[in-house]
Amino acid sequence: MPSKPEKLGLAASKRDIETHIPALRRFAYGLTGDRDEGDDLVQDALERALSRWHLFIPGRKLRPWLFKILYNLFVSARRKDSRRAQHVPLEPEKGMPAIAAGQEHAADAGKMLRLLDTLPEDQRSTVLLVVVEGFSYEETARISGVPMGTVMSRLHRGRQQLRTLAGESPPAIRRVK
Amino acid sequence: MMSGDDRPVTETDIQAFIDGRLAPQRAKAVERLLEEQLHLHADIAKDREIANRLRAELDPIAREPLPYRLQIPPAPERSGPLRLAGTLAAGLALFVLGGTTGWYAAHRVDNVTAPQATMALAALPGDAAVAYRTYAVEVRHPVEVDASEAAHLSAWLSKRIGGTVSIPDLSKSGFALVGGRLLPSSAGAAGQLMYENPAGERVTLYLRKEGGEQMAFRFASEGAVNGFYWVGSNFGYALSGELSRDRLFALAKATYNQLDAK
Repeated sequence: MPSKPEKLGLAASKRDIETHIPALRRFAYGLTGDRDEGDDLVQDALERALSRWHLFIPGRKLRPWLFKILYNLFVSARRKDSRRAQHVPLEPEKGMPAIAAGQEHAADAGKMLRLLDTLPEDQRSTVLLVVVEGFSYEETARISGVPMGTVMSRLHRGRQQLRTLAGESPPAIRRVK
Repeated sequence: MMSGDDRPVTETDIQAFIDGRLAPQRAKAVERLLEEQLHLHADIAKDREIANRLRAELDPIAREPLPYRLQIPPAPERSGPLRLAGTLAAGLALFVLGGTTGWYAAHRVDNVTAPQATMALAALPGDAAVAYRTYAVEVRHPVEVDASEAAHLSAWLSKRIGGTVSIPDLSKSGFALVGGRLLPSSAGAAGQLMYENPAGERVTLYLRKEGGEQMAFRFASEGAVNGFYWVGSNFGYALSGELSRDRLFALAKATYNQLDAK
């Protein structure tokens, strides 16, 4: 990782970290259900990414690397904090005013996030990585540190759960042939 | 064509189908299955709707401006990745530690501790490139003080930036002084001197106080704008322009020779 030609490449990488911060925030918010906590997580992840920059393998994709760092921090923080093992529901008034404002159906604002927050953490993170962040199943497996089969089953169970919960109040499905 | 369709549809296929990631021929197999299995069809429609709503609920946060604590101060393309990591980490740490004091710290560059010096220096080529992009395209107001008032320009910048600002003469290289301006920067007041050649190409010399050691030329490139930057006895300098690296280097040497090699 020495001298000349990499210089320009490095410039790109630095900018790349910046370009991923918005998505990292989105992921962290989805994981934690709390804006401040999410930003704390992103901040920790950025510090770690920068201090371990030498571990980043040039040529690899930066985005999954950053997400893996953030996800690992999330998991280990939850493990440490036993109170967190108890499920903490998303608080709409604390977590989501800015987001709710942009919603079309005021009553439904943030509903999916609240449902998501009831999923076990492994399913929640898998749904977020695949559905919201658009990672491939392989990338999601690498980020989560599990085999791809596990990703598929988490995704399956996560979706099942969301579907059930979403159906509980207003049924959304009318347009089946 | 045939081979893909023969295999039974799997749960993995279904998930990939929901996500729109299934190869077309496999997707056809799933669609055939859905014609028979209406409940599955309904579930998939629901899953997709949930996915859309989830994205819609989460997307706004990714469009918000980044809070201060999540900003990474600009850093140059310096030496190896380790150095770069150190630079960025130091810069970020300042923001992290300081929050609001980051601003203060950035303004105390003459009192530098090492990381502060590093951060300010790290920002030098990027700040210079931004200033270049902003003003080099200006037709009517490229400078605040015109070359005809060079003595005044020099005195004014010296006073504001703190240190004797001398204006290099690049006419031997074909570039005439257009003038200069004072700029705000993350490391205090900065000056920008602009030069132009008969072909209309412009280069700018950006300068400001830098703490720490003198430093030899380094090259940085921000998009189309190339830059050489260095730290002399008085200031940190960055010569920026949309010129080839070689041409810019020749100009940087000419500049350096007049400023610090006296």
